[in-house]
Amino acid sequence: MAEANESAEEVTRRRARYELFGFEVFPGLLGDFAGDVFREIEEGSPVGNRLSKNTEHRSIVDHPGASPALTRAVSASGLADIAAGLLDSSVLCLFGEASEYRGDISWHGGTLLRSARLVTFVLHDRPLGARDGAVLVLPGSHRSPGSYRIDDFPEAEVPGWAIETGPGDVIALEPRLQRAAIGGRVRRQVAVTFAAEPVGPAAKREIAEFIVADRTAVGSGSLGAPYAVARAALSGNAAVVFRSGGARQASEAAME
Amino acid sequence: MTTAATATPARQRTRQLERFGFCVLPGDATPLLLTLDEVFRTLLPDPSPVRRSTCFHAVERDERMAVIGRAPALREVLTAAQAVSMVSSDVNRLVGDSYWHSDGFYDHGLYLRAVVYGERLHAGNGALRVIPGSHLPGSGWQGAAVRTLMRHDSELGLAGEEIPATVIDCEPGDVIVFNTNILHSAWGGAARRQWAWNFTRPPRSEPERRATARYILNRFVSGSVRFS
Repeated sequence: MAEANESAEEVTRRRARYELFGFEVFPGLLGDFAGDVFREIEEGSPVGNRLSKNTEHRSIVDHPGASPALTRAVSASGLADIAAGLLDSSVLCLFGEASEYRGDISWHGGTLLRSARLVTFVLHDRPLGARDGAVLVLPGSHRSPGSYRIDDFPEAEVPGWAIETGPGDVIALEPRLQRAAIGGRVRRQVAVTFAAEPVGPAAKREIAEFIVADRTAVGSGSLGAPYAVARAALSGNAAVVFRSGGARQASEAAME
Repeated sequence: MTTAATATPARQRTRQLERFGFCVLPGDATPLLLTLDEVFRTLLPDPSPVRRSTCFHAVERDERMAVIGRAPALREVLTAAQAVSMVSSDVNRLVGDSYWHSDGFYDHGLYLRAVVYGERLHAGNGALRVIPGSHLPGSGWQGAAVRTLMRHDSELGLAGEEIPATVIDCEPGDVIVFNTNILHSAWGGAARRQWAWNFTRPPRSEPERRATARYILNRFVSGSVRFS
């Protein structure tokens, strides 16, 4: 429960770090839940339902909705409140996925988002070191991802900052942040993404397009809330109410 | 912390300098250390290990300082960048921390600083550390972001050494080249010797000519140049 005992000053500093560097680490935030979350993946939802473009990466879409353990973890950890604190806004839980990675993850980031503000929380099933699959980032690159030309640079030579994590540690990532991972170990990851209440039509449209475009958000009835956001925004009839706290409890009104 | 990769081909070092604002030339000045050590003892004879001191205009005061022209990899990098005009040079005895800063920020032109240290340095004893990409105009590392960074204790709740950055570990004789726009610092430093040379290229436009004039003025007149 990272924020339960935190002062307003510390929440402000967390937000300042997130805004400046594009990430924030919550040590041990899901330490009490990680075992159940990954055990459930292992036992009940075999990874492999869907193969993505990268054959070394397999994922389960709409994982939060399919996972009672993760739903409990999200709720008990106050993840929505934490997201609201980082984004300084009421938030909506957009989607999530469980993934299995084998090998390196190429440098990526810099989504097409311009106005919308998101945060993705990432939990891994094992401790990760700098050359062992830890998330590598270029701090601050989320604020102008187009300035960082790394697509034709040798991946291993990019001077990334390694976010080394232990059991139950959660990383909050700004989706625009340039990031990668180096290391061949098999590791599993759970990611849950929240969006700040969009300000203006451009941000609403971006979130809608982001949801529609993202493979993790398509084709599941339990993703009703964000999918409705997308439909509403794309139809120009958006009146979705975002709420702080209570992941997956966003309500909708005046939908098409 | 993340430690900079050090063994890369010359072309890649040049590209790293362009993209991320720094590169390392391992051992490039090692054959020159004896000469540089003599220069240091001539220009900064004070043996005090606790007082920070600088000798500006080092090449003008001791022409042996120009020996850096014999560092082959540096010559290659500077030639590739067309930044072969040495603007100034200095010798420094550094002690303690250097806070987060850039040596001025210029939207136009190319301003490089090459440094050699006399000691083996790492994160815990004063190695240079940088924020990769912060040298780029439009990277988002200007204005309010820099002010927040410089007030890291109060605004971020982080000590200077906790800022996520690349630590450039080095051996005596390694040459570190960085764009002077880049945000850099050093923490936990014991006394360490540093030789430094500043380079630029011929201006390519009127805005660059003005920026270069400002850069040179700052180097020679203002006294506001800071070293790490």
